[in-house]
Amino acid sequence: MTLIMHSSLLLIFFILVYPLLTTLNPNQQGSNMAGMTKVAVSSAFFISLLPLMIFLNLKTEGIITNWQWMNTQTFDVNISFKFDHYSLIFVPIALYVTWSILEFALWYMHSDPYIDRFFKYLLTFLVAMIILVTANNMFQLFIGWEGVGIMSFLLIGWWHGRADANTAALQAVIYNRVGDIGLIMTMAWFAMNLNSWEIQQIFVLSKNFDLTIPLMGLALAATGKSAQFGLHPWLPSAMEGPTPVSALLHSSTMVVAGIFLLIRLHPLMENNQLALTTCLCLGALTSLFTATCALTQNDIKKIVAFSTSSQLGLMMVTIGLNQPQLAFLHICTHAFFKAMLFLCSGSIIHSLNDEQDIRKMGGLFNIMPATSTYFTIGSLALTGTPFLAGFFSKDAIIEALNTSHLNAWALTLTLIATSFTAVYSFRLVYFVVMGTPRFLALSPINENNPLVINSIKRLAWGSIIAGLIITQNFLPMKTPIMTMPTTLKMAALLVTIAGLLVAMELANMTSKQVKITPMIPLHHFSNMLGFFPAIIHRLLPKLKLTLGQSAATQLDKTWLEAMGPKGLALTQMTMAKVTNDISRGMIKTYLTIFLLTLILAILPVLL
Amino acid sequence: MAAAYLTHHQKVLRLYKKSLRHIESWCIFRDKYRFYACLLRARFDENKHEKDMIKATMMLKAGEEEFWANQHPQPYLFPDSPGGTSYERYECYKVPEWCLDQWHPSEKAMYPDYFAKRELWKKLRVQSWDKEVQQLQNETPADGPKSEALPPARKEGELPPLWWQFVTRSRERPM
Repeated sequence: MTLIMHSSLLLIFFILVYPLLTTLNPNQQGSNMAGMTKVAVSSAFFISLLPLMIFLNLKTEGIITNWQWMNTQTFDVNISFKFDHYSLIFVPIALYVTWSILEFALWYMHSDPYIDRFFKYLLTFLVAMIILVTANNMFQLFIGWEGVGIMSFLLIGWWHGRADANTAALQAVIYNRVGDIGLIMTMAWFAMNLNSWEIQQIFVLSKNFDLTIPLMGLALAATGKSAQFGLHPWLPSAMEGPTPVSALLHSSTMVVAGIFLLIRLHPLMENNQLALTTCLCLGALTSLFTATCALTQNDIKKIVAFSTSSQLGLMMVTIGLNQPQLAFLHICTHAFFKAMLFLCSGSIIHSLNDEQDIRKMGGLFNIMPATSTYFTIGSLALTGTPFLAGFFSKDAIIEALNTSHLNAWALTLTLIATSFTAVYSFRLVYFVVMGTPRFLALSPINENNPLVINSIKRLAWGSIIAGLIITQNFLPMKTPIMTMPTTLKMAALLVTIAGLLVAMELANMTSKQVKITPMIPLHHFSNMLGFFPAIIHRLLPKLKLTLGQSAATQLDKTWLEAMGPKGLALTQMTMAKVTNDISRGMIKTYLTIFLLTLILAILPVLL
Repeated sequence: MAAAYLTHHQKVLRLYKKSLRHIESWCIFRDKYRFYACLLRARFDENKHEKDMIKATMMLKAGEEEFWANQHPQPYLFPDSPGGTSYERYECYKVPEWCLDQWHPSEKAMYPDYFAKRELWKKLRVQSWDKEVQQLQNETPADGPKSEALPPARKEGELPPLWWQFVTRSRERPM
């Protein structure tokens, strides 16, 4: 059985790497790389279902150690893949979502001359993500981590003629780098204190250590990669990339890499209350802050990006509650409906001739019924509508939060963020799908292409039944608390319905428009993203430049130059000038001084 | 009309258009926008017969301050306009025209009449270059040019200076 599992998993790797190898061929005439990539990913998906079925049936987990890479007498670095509950469920889901996105990208990017390069980048990203997810040691995880970071940079800056796209790509790389500092610190700590980078060894050897330092490093890594508060601005800026990139990287797969890291290493965190509380509070703050920012945005992709950030905060909260499996469940269900939301927005954007502002959309329900239906399904799944995909994970998380006797502040923030989710989702659906059209009359609205419809349909099926399938087939590792007061049980649903009612009332007021502008300070706070990017992106460079300036003047110019060589040279020059001026051939002055001195010398003799 | 300063008329019209666009950003539904746009037009119209320039300038200043206080933080920008979502998106696909000279002769043979015409255009460019430079040298003031605007062709039968880079610029949306 394990042989079947291992060979199918290695087969998936080779199927995914083969299209990349064909790009090394010098004659690229007539190569249908884009179509080949889609077929490769779909076949890899079907093959990956086999190990999943084996795991379901027999609970087989496996670790393959393939190659001894850098082994010394004291330290081993091997290439080893871990196929356990988390990676075996994530890989089919990632492949399924990528299959749909690649099929959509065949339509979306068909007019792009470099579509083959685009698919190559997406495939490289997918391979890096799978390396990250199946890594059994920190070094391999780091390879995948950096790989997804670099592919994110290349894909966000796909239209590199655009200045904003280059800025956004740089932002993504720099913010991720700050998070990488944490990951490298953790890896160094493990190498120094536990003498191993293999995950099994780390779990066994770390029982008696105080793990605060590596866990804080991991939290920093997750903050950078998963856009938690403090290192979050790169995620909305990353919407400069094409929509398939936003759907794949910045909603389903790359941004969950930080959370996945914490899930992988959660046994280390179980006993360290500081790390858990940090994750809890950081996640709650992120969730509320980004949900607040999403309330007043007008770009459809930015709203979905902030929604992603809010859900990532929720996943961080779950990690803080010591429930890694629930966080993983949320990762899986979130991948489906978030990717679907992005693909629907991509379809809408293309149909309206690159219009991304929801103020110029409307009434799409009659003109694009399929897309708007799937959009609504995705929004309902996002808000946690009972028995769609999001419900199983979100409701379980909120229940666990309510019944844990942890931070009440984090609880409040998370509940408010949940109601805000309903508010901005309703706002999005109201402005995009309902009402009357506000866009130009001659828009090339078209959803007849089967590439578009089939891909979004597949993701819609996933959004509806994925939650059910995963929860029915996999037992939870920690017993959930089953008994709680009715209000706590219904809390998620109640706050969501409350948010929905508030949103409907506000939408009603908007359509009446009593005042020309709404209440300015709150709207400004939300619309300018809490002024976070406006302040930080100017303050930090200013501080660094001031530091550089003072270092250049005080240290370099003063202490190293003026006090030493240059000052000495100046003093010497001054003295030399004075001496030179004195002995300049002023004969009359010399004779006068000579006579004066002579008289002064002879005077006492005379007297 | 293309002087260095804006006239009062131009400033008022620019304020009006800015205010309309920002009202459009605030009032999302067209019927409400139309209502507030008509109110704004009435406010501009009741003062349009003001003859006293000092009062008119003070009113313009008050109007600009009111605009600044009430502007939308994310005004609606058209996708192709500067700051829009697809501005400069296709810059990376725009290829300069001198790359055509580097085609292989077998590739050039696929479009013989185009490249024959191109040779004639290049000859014209060489012929008119000295006259263009002469015109620019004559028309530039002594301490350097005042703006980036190029002068038009002055004499009959001559071409405007630096015409080649405009005639051979890439398409807005490359293929």
